[in-house]
Amino acid sequence: MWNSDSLAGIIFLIIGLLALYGARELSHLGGVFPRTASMLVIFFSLLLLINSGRGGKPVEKVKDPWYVIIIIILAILYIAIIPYLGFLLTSIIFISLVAWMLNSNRHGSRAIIMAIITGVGISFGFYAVFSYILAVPLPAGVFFQ
Amino acid sequence: MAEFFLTALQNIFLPHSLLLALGGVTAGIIIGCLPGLTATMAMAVLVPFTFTMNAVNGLIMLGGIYVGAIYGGCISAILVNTPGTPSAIATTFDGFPLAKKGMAEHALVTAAFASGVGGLIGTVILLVLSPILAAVALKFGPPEYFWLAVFGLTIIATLASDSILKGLLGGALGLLLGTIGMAPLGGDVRYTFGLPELQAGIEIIVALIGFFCIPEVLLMIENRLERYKLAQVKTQKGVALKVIKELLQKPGLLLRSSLIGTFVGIVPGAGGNIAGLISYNEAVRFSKQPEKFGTGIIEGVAASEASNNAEVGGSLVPLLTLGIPGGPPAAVLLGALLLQGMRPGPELYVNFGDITYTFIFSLFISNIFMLVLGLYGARYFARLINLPVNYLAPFIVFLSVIGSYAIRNNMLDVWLMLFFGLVGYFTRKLGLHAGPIVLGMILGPIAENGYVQAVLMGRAAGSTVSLFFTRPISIVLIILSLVSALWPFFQRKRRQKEGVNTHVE
Repeated sequence: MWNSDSLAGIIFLIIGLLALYGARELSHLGGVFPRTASMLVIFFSLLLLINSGRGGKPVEKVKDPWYVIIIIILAILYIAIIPYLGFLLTSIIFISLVAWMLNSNRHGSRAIIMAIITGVGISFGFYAVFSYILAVPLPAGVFFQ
Repeated sequence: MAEFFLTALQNIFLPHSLLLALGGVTAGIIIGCLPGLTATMAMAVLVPFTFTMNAVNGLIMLGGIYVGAIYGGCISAILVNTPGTPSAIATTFDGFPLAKKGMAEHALVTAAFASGVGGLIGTVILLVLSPILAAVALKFGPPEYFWLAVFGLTIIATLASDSILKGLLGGALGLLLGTIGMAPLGGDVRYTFGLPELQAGIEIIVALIGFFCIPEVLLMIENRLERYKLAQVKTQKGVALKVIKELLQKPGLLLRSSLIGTFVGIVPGAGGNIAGLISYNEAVRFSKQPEKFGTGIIEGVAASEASNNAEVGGSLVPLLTLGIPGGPPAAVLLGALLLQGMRPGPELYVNFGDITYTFIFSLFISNIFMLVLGLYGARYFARLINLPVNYLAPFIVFLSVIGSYAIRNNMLDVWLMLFFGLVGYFTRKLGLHAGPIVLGMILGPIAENGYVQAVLMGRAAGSTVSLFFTRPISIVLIILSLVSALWPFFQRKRRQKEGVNTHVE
């Protein structure tokens, strides 16, 4: 029923319409581009929808959707926690966890130890490079200030 | 200009310049040779390391990464039949068959040598052509910039996507994203969803990191159980020399491929993959034995590799002179230049000549490093191809987070990066690629600024229409836009009539 053309068409049609609606109160000069861009999005989405009957490619399947979803959630948590735990600690936890989870052979203590070494090594190494060599201040976290 | 040349020559032979170029090339080759990790990603994920460097050093390193990553793609193209970066797609046609015949070394040497030659020719053309174009660009006023951006946008439609309609839709979406923030004039605040940080617009590097790193990570996770079977590299004494001699007897092939690559690079929106494919096609057409292509001959590898590395120099021509990136990796360079407070355009040649020429000269050095590393090290880089996903995936997310934060020391940028990453992942699943979206985001504000200023100029002069449609450079750009916009329809008609199938589809 849904192929990649019709699905893309309907999603971006809605986005285009919302964007056009969002541009309704803009002045003439400030609104020309948002309005034009919205209308282009709407126009091309409609064309896609019209053409979708004629053999659009099927939507590409997500292989292993659970892993993808879990990684996305972990990434969201990672970013959300940084301001509290600080960049270093959060990164160690995130990298170690993901490195362990995605290991094709995650049973046994070896996988856990390797994951922690990776997490600690990468986090410390790059934290040091950014903080001391490149002088980019990274969030320390509320507990460490 | 002569004094810039001297400064540039002095700059590039400083020890730390050489080290940065070498480091950039090495990092680029590593990321480039990993299947799934593109050259754009190499640059996006490593650009944060240059934020606090001065402009010259940052550019030297980024140039090295660019050169290395485009070359690195050939290693996995040859050994596992998967281009390490999209631009190496045509390298698989003959590279992998060669490897299967046990001639992997022939293919790797050819690729390294052709890449080096192509890269150097591309850089020569950049060096010669860009100051001329910059002089022309000095005459550009707002209407010209408007039409230039329109021309860039029409080209997206023709070249950037396998589906023209989706390419256009992606470009339009990019235009829309580009309008986020304060209007260039009049103080309208657009689509900021109440977030004051968005008023300045979206930092282009944040979007690039998101669009080009996160989707690759998620795709990597989907395919994490895949293992690539590497073709064996048997080294024999004298093969390298023999292959290079054979290639030197075909200067026409190398030169033609390099020129094709450079000129495809100059066209905004057309990347290394298109450069490689067109050059491969032409090599087949010009060959006396076209039937041998695809069976594993070094000419096929040379055509693709000379072209995609020449594309690097080409893609920098419109970037440095007009501020319009020739492809996604050049877009990262644009972001880096803007962060350094250097707006690409004629100004780079007038006010920042020492920096600009140092950068261009450093590309020669980077290409030579790449050639040497490729000739001697390709086998060792190849061992990284099966780097386990479970270490690579969190590492890239980590670098993306650190990078997007470091731009303005701002967590909102990190959230935006992830947001764009997820958008990029889902649009990819729907067949919309990130390239057109990003080019739309970059060209949109250029078009808008040009338009708004031109309208004001027109009001002051009393005639907006003549300002837009009668200036000579504008007319040229309008004609070019029309040709490129209508090109796909002509081509489709011609194809239907002849029923030809080309590789470039």
